[in-house]
Amino acid sequence: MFLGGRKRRCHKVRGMLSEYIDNRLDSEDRGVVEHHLEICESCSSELESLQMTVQLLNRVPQVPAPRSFAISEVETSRVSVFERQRLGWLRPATAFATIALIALLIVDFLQVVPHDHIMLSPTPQGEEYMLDSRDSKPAETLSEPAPLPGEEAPTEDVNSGVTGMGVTSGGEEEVSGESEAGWPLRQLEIAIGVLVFALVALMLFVRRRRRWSAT
Amino acid sequence: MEEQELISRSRAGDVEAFNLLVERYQRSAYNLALRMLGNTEAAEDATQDAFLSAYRAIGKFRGGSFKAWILRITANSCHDKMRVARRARVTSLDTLLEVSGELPLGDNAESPEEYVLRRELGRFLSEGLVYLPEEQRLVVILCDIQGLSYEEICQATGSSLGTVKSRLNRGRARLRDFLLQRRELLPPEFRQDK
Repeated sequence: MFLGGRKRRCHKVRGMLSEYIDNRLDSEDRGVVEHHLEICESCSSELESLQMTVQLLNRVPQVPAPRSFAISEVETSRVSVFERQRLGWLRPATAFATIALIALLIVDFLQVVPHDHIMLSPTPQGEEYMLDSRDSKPAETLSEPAPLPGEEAPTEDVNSGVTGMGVTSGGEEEVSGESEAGWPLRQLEIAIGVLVFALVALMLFVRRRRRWSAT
Repeated sequence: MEEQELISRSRAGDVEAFNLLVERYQRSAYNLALRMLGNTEAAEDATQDAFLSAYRAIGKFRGGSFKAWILRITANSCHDKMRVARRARVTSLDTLLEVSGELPLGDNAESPEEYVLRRELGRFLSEGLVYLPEEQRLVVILCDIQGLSYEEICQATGSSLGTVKSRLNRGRARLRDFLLQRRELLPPEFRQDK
């Protein structure tokens, strides 16, 4: 118990020795350190060796600069031209693309505008089509049935095909009519996402290159 | 000319005014880079990088010690150099030190014996400094070689006072351990047993 307490005191005092050497301790802490140093040979030895280290470091001379590091007008103009040419348009472009991407994601999330059917997850019609198919004849969900004699063949359009199979109501035909003129949101999101990624990568590259090419 | 006036003129794009600041602080900046990198050539590059960066960023200087601000930029420049060196598979900066050979230690008029002793000591300490972790090395150099106050070191490293104290304590102790391993290289007055 006594040894543990002393070890803790040694640990605490050793943590303050640098400040003690630099005369940065307040009078109370200084008193604690000095009192401990009087009774602890090990910490006194620690202090001496640290003082030796500091004195040696203080002896390290400041060498003169080998040359002038003054910068020239050419260097500064090169830097500013570089900044203007590279980062001038890059930052606003990245900001604009990021804002556009966020706006698109919000629009997509809120479903403000009708989506293009091609790249979207199953539309309400599609879900209904799938459900109906699952309930009755799963095999028919995979391949379109051949048109019956006298029945008009389904068009190439997917929505028209679904309608042609008679699994959608008239109201849904109206919705599918809207989706033909829908917005390709997902494609836009992907394209702008890739653009943002590329712009950010380019900006990081240019910054790093500028740092190294400044000299 | 007053430092504040030089800073104001530099902010306005006056390169000549900025170069007067360069003249004033290039020795400190170069010495920091030299002790951080242990290599004269890399130190020159880092110092030049630092002053160009400082010119570009002088509009962001928000007062306080300009010397500490310059040294902070120099330390960042050294950090970049070390990162590039590590990427180039220079696994240890000891390699740089060996390549650089003898580090210059001053131009004071002194006897040849004194010069040799001082040169050896400088080389030995440079090796010891390179042996320290980067953060501890920076704080030890700023405090014990550059003579900055704790507050200026906080500004130069962007660290809290507690962090600076802790790094200084650990750095000195670690350097002490390194020096005592090769006691025979120490000046006679420092060779007594621990």
